[in-house]
Amino acid sequence: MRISTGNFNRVMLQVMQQSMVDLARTTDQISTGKRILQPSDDAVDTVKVLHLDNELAAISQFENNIEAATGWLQQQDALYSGMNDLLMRARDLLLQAANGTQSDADLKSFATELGSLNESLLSMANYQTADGQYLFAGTATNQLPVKQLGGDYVYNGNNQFRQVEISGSARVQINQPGAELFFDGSATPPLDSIFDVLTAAVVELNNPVNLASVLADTLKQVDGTMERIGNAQTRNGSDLNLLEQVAGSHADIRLFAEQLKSNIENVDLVEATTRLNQQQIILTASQQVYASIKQLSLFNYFS
Amino acid sequence: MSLTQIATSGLLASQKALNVASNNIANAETEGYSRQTVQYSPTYTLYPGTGALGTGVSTSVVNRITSNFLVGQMWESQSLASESTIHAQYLNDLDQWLGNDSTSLAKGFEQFFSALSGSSVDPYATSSRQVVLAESNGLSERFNDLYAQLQGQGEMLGQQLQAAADQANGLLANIAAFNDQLRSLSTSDQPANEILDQRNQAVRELSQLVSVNVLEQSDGSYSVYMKSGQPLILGTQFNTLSVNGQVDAANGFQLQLDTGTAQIPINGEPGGAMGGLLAYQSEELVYARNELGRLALVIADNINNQLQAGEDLNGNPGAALFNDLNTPAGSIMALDASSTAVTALTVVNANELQPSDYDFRVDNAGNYSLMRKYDNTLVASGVLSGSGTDVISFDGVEITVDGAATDQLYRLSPVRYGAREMQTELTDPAALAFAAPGSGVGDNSNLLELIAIQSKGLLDNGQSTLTTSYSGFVGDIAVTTARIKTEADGGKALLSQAEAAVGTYSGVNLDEEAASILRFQQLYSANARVISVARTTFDALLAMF
Repeated sequence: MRISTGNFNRVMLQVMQQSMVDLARTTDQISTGKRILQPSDDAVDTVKVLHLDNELAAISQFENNIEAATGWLQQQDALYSGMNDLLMRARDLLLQAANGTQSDADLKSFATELGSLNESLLSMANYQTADGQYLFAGTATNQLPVKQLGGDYVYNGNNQFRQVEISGSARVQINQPGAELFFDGSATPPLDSIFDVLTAAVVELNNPVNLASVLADTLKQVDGTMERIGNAQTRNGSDLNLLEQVAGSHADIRLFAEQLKSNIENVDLVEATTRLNQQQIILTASQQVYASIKQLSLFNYFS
Repeated sequence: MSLTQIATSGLLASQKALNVASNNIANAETEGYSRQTVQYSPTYTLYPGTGALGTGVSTSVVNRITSNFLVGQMWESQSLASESTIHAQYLNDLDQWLGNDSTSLAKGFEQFFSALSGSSVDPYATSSRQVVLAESNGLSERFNDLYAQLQGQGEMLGQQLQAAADQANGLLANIAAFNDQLRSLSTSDQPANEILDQRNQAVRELSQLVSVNVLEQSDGSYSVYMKSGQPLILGTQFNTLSVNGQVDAANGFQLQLDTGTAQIPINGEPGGAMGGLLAYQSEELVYARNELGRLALVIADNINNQLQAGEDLNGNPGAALFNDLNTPAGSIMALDASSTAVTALTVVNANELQPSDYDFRVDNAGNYSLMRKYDNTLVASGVLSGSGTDVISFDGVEITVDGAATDQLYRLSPVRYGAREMQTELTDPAALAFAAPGSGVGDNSNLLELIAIQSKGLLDNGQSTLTTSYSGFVGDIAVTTARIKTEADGGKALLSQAEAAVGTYSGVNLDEEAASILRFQQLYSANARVISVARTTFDALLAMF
């Protein structure tokens, strides 16, 4: 077997170049921390990583939605509490007025306070967010939900809900149409809203005609409204709970998916550094072998 | 015959051998050089029969050590290695673009749908609507950018093909010229070693560019043929290769053979680097362009349709977000001058589209066929009505054809330019129709339908979502890239083995040549010694007088 000197040089050069390529690749893997530097390094695992990325992006978005929805629900919760306080005070006033011992002057002062409570409740019902949207108008958020038409309070929003996706399978309702809160569907207009009823009570207190029965009807409507607001607040609270739970399970899934992703695409540093060492040894050895074989020549012995 | 004359022939022979060894040493690193040896033979014999006396040595011929078989194997491995190497280079670039976060469509889809979902809590808010428009622009740009990369590859491929054809033509001319020289030298006993080596080296360089079959004729000339059988060189005559077409032509760039009188298109794969370039052009480049185009059409169509079912912030019916890609520009390409029958191509159901081009043929009796090129499937066939206009439907597409047409040949590419043409047209955030009609500005029910498009099985008979379709495509390209890279590595290894085999047989080994020099130095000294002995003998004879 004879070996061509030129061919030997070329082969040795190729061997060293290949070692350099391998070394560069391992260095790339170590410095990026990734085993898969491009899809063709592992097609099957690349597709898995793409799917996991997609899932992680969806989770991030659901988490953002949950955060925003939580804000809306908390805002509503605060308003419900405020309304409840107002209505409790109205209830007290009505009960005091109904006990039969109040003077006309007392009744008039009750009337004044009840009137201002009604105003406050109305402004809460027509609450606007920072960008001017009405919270209790259903999805007609640019329309004043409760307005006066010829002395009658009417609902001017719609009864549609806005839902937000908080996971692949769950949505949460983040608005409450005002019709369900402030209006009694079973009552006959014009006395079908809490505002109409309180206005009528104020008129009666200022000028009692049929005081006992009007106060009793008003009390019934106040209790009914408080019950509806209370129900809405409870729903709100359970939705907030749901949001917290779903956020928790998103965090679990995220952790799992990230773990899985890193198992798939990250380089095993111990293995990679060992490989780097071996590749360095191989390259150094090839270089030494080449250099020492190149010194061997019969011509060295010519004199 | 005198002692001096015999010794002189020995001196000359060893000198010649020393020359040949030095020439070998000088060419130890010359590509394509075959080592040479001196062939000795005794000169004529005086008084043959009884008392025969030799008259010395002659070195009539310097031989070159070569094996046609090994060299032929090297040429063949050279073609295979060059073909897969250049194919792998193009695939590697594509593979990287598709996987890179800054260019990947998967990221584009994610960000676009995240922006939509982010709008769902407060669909009235302008800020989140603006994010939707920004991400929509981002997505269109990702499509446009990927298309531009593919187009760049297509153009570079054409330039490389042209450069390879020019280089091949130079080599073909050289080989034909060598044939000519060798023919005129063929009467001499001494083979034209250097020319033979140079000719083989030229064939080797040609094999890098295109795969060839070489037949050595009795007059010593090489006949060179392409794999498909077309002759490149016959004796001193040679044909040339030229590149036809352009990146946006139906078949892109095409190789053809110029015989001086005719131009013959080269069908099939010619092997070598040109074969690798043409393979990438006809396979992955077409597939990538069509798959990206299809995704562009599908997302644009679905999002636009859903938006048009809704109502915007001003109470107007929804407007399209993306431009309409359903009457795609450049989708009808006549393959000959007589084809004028197809007047329109419309996408009627984007979700049924396939990532493919189609060949539409009508024969002289009005029988038509539509062949899907991606998987060579007949998707429609029949007879034209003979009058008026006919509408033919296939894979979510409708074409309008002159019913009386005969002898037509078309390439139809419904999705080819989708990724190039995709644009975000809407600029007013308030015009995004997130609400159902009549539901108020705070409604997001149409928006929820838009978000749902992300997880719907839109493509491939409801099998694939946009994202899984894209990841499947990335996976396909990754598998092909890995396969061709392995082929390229294997090809290089085979080439290296073939080179080693040729080297072992024909290459120069410096130690061997050093030993030859020592041997022939000795031989020279010995012959010189004989001359001095002859002189001493003659002197002794003279001294007798």
